[in-house]
Amino acid sequence: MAGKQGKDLALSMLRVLPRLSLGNIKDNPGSRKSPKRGRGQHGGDKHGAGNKGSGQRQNYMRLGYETGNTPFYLRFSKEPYYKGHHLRREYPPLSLKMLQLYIDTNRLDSSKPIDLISLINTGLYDINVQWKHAGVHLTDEGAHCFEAKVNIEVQWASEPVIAAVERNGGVITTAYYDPNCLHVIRNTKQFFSRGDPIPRRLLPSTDCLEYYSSANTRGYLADPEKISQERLVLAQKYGYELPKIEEDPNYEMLCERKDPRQLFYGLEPGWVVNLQDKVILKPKAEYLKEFYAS
Amino acid sequence: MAALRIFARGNLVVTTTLSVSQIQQRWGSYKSSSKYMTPEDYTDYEITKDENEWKYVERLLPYKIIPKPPTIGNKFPSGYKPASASPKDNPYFIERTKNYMQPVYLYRSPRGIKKVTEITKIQGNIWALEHDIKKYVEECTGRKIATQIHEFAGLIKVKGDYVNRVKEWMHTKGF
Repeated sequence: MAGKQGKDLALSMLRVLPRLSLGNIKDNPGSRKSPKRGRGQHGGDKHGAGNKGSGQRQNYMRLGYETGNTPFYLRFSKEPYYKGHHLRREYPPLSLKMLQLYIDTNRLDSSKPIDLISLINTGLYDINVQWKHAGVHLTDEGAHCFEAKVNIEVQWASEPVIAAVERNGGVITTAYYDPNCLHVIRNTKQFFSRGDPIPRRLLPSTDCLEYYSSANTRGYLADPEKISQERLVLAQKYGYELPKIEEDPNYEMLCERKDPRQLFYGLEPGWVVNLQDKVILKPKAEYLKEFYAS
Repeated sequence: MAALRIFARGNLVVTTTLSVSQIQQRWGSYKSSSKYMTPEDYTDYEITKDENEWKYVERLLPYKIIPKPPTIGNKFPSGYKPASASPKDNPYFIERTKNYMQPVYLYRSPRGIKKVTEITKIQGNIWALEHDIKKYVEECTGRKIATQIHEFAGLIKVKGDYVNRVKEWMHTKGF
């Protein structure tokens, strides 16, 4: 190497250095990337939207569209069974047979007027106001063996039931109670211990106003003259002789009715009943009398 | 009522709470509404202690003890028959329920396929009772019935709906 300088030195060095070949070349630093492992079935390239079609393109059809078929939701005509369900009233049934049984077993006193309160007080019949129960529906099961003479007030009754009660010389009235009154009726003792004044009954809602003011259904708002006429008509239709109430020894009991604004027999709305001292408080103020008047 | 109460105390509210922004109150019941500080503000009332009026109140209260049904008489329109057997008449005895009814019940599976008649409140020789019931029901219906006895609890289960048949038999024995 001695004596060589410059160009000669470089050439002599090149002669002994290893040759550049495919065997000894290396990637440029940073030029090579290690492959990433994809997540999921398609390594993430489908983004969960599937392969091909409207699913992948995410141009979904409108809800219920069946690509040309008549859609299911249009295939049948509308049947609104539950329309207005939140307003509909329900009357849990009580058959005439059970009513007769209650009277036979002394659970009900037929020498006094029977109403929803006395039925609930037996502990054998109950309503749930939260479930839109609006009172008792007297059904005609056991109408053939019904023999009691009662003055009964129910919320719903059919024609054979009215006939079965009146055939025995009894009296039946259909009457409406608003939900607030029904809450009071469900537990009278609790209500009195609360110290609230007895509420006034509200008039029936428009969908049942006709029922409760019709003489055919013995509505409590109907004209008494018309009711006595309808009693005769029904007696002729069902072929029984109508017993005369005027000649009955229990005439006074059979004639006991509630005022349309009255909730309890013999007690007026607005009064406060004190169970502890056994006294009744009656308001004197004029505006209260005016409010509770029927 | 609430509206009236507000109306009645209208002057009072206006004079005292003009400056204070008040939260709306409904006065839904007597207890939730605010109280008058002076007794003169309360509405005037009359206290009555009338016996005749109080009878109407007593009529509204439920009875504390279940009334006893008539024990004599065998013919009621509803078909009710009071219990007539005494515990010593037979080697077995079936007590009436607290409602003075026969303790015979029908139980049905959730879809109503399986029906089981259950007789409870049995005292005495339950095996003899089961034999007699089985004999009666099999004679009436003309088919074999399956029964199950729970001696400790004093109850018999009969497969199938034989409630009315069992009650008929109990009437003949006076239970």
